[in-house]
Amino acid sequence: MGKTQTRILETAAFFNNHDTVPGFRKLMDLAMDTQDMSVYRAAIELTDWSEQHQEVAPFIQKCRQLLDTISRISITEDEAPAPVVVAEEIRKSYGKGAFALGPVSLTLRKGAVYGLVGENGNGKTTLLRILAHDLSCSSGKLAFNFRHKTGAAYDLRTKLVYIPQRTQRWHGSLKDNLKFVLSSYGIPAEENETRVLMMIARLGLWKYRHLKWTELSSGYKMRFELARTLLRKPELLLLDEPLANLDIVAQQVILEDLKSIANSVNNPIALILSSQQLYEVEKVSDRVIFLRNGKPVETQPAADVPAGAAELIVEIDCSSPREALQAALEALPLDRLNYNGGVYIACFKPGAVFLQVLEALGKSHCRIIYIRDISSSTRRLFMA
Amino acid sequence: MKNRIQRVNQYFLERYPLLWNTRVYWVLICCILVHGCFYLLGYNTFRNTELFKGYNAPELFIENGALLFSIIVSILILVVWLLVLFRNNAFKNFYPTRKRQLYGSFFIYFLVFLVATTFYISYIAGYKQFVKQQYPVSWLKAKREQANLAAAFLPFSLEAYTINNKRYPAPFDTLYCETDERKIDFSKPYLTRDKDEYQFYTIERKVIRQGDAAVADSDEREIRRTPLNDSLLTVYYKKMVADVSGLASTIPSFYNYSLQNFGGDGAGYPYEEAPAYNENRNSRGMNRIVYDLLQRNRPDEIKKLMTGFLEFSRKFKISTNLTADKWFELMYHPADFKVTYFISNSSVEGLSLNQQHTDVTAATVTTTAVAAADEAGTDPYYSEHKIKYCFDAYDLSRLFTGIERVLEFSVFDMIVYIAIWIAFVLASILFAFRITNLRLLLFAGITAAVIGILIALVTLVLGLANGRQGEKTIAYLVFVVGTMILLGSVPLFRFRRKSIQGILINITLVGIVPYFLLILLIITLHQRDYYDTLYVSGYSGPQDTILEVLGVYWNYVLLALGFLFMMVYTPVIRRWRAQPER
Repeated sequence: MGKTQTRILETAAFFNNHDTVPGFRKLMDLAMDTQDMSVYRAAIELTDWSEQHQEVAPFIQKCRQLLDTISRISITEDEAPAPVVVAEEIRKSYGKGAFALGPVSLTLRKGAVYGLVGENGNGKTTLLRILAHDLSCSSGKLAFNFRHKTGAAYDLRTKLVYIPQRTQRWHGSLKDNLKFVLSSYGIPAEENETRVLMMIARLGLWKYRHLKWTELSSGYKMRFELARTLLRKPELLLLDEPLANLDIVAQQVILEDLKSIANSVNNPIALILSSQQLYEVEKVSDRVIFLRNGKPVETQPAADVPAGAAELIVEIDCSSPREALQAALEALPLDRLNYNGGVYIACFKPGAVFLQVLEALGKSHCRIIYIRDISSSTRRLFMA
Repeated sequence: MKNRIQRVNQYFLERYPLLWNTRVYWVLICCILVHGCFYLLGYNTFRNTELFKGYNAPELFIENGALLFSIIVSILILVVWLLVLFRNNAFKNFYPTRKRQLYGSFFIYFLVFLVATTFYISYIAGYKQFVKQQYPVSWLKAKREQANLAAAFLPFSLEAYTINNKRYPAPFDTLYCETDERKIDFSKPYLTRDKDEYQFYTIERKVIRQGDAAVADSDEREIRRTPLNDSLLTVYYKKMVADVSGLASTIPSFYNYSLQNFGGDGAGYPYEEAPAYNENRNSRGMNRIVYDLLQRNRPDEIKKLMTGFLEFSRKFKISTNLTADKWFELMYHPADFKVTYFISNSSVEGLSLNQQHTDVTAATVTTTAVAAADEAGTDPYYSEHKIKYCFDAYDLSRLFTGIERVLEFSVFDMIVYIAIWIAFVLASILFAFRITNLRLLLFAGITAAVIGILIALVTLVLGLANGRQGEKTIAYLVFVVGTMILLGSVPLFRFRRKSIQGILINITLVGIVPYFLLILLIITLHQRDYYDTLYVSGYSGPQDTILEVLGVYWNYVLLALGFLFMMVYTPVIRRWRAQPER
């Protein structure tokens, strides 16, 4: 069963369970993958209808009809065996005694999301800019492998889409800005409007398409920026702190959108984004790169370490005194208990299991506000 | 209307993003309309004929504020256009921009600046068209001839009517009249009038080499010498005294008049008929025309001339208190057509002011003083016949000159080239701003200024600005610096920072045409030196330098080179933009 078929079934399941929001999003993803203008127009009509009508049952029925139409269309699935970017021993120095990045080696593949995390000033933006060819590296090799080979350096840069932390203001109509992108990329005139509206619909911007840039919240500005970026059909997308200034819900929506768009069937994208929102980024990323002092730190346990034999690290927010917590964990192979002024970090010796920790704390009288296993999360590296 | 504008914008947005981004279609339409308005304004300017009499009639567009108004309108249009243009920049956002699109954007900037900063040229075209239609060259020629003929009978001064002005009929067309009493041979026939003497001579001429000119200086018979060509001179001599005592009298007469009072045939005012020794027969026409008119002695013809002339003068508000009847009465003495009246060359107001002044002076001046004034210079014949009539010939002359100058005025003499270069420079600056940024553009300006000051300092300190050699040294110094900047802008040297290369690119974009001009100047300097050495060794062939050969077309040559350079330079710009920062 191909990817497309799997997704069709997943989408149908969402509608069966009346999960219209994720279902509609998946439906739009499938519609986009068809590259069929009639499907686009149907999807746009459906979006417009849903904005004006709140009834769920007719909406689900219309969605199923569209899904049925999509399932009859053959979608070309992109099989990209070679990675899009291969960086070998990239180093960047800003001078003697100043910050230095590297050596960094990484491989980015299409369809995967890479999270780039680290404390401030550790080289996240530098690495992103180097990958985007916006900054030169002092040494190392950087190789790109796109679907269509590029000759001139400028043509290469058109394929490396980098969205910085602070984006510039848009002038004029939002739709015109988006249409300008497509016409610059040579999209035929008769498809331009449809593709733009389709992207607007896909990213949930239908209600805001007639507004001015200054009337948008920062979350929707980021989404429009994303829409403009995705219209360029990038094969590599580099985002610098896209979640900054967004509320929790907006962050979640953006990340889910990014994940699903990166996993597009016929236009998968290699996506790398830097962020301070560790939990959210780790949820969507296939791999997380942690930078400390400009060097990547391995975030996953070594391959030869069996599961369960790795060190257990637990983050605990507890309002009880330290002694009480210590006493509750006494029976477990606790290696050290650190307090960073906000939360406790309990490091256990190999062999400890998180369930045992939950059980021990549950039986004790400690008032636990928050607990999380951060053994495989980069959060542990921040706390170390 | 708004919907239509939207539809047009959407049409271009979806198909021609560059045209949409620049909105060139709207700018051109708007500018064409404004050009039309300026054309109409210009067309109606010279309906007020008084404007022809201004000091510099063709450049009225400067004095009457049309140029200023044009500049204001240009600024408004360009500001709005730039605000719209700056909304999007495909090149800076790394949207696919082919080389020809980048070049196309420069060309569009040039076109917009050219069209939007030349409204005054349409204004000039408007009034030129009006003048060409209302006062064509043939009309002007005819009116001038009429005025020149009528002016024969507007005696402002005695000097125009004395016998030494006579050029027709024979033998006066081949004789020279000596009026300097030191050179008159009183032993031979001569004529007198009051205190003036006139002696006529036949003429002989000799052709000598320029180098031998000094030898001929000693001959006191010499009248004049005129160049025949680059190496030869024609020298005219008095040959023999001619006795004309039976052929004409010395009484001031209209028969002696030979001025072209209002110019014509390229001659300014007043143009005296050429003397006998001038072999240009064309300039010996006025005296003959007047002579023939007087010989025909048809009063209706003369009156018609006077009536027509006065009607024309009134139409163009030339001040006079003459009427056709009075004038004819004053002028018509068919026995000998002697001049029996003199009028003032002034307006009626001027005449009355003058008259008041004269009355006051006369009331206080004694007879002795009048006699003293007579003795000083005023001919008694003139004083005796001066009357209180006037005609403002200066004003009429200004009218003719004004019309002629407007007809001859051409924007292609200089104005259009200034407009083209202004547009090119502005387009280059805008292009540089669009591909780099404001910071780099400002730094480029500062860098260019500093380099210029350094060159000037080096020149002064080393004393390079001396003579012809100094010109070449400075030219080569600037050429070397310019070449270094040009080569530095090409990404051959990878160690340079992107921003420094950006500054060099900006300087190159704006300075490339002056650089080409400098090359032409250097070639010209070398050619001049070369021709100088040839001249010393006796070369007398053509000595035109390349700039002289090109003439005004150097503008077109440099413009073409400028555009060609921009086309060739776009890969450099794209490569620079794609270059990562260090």
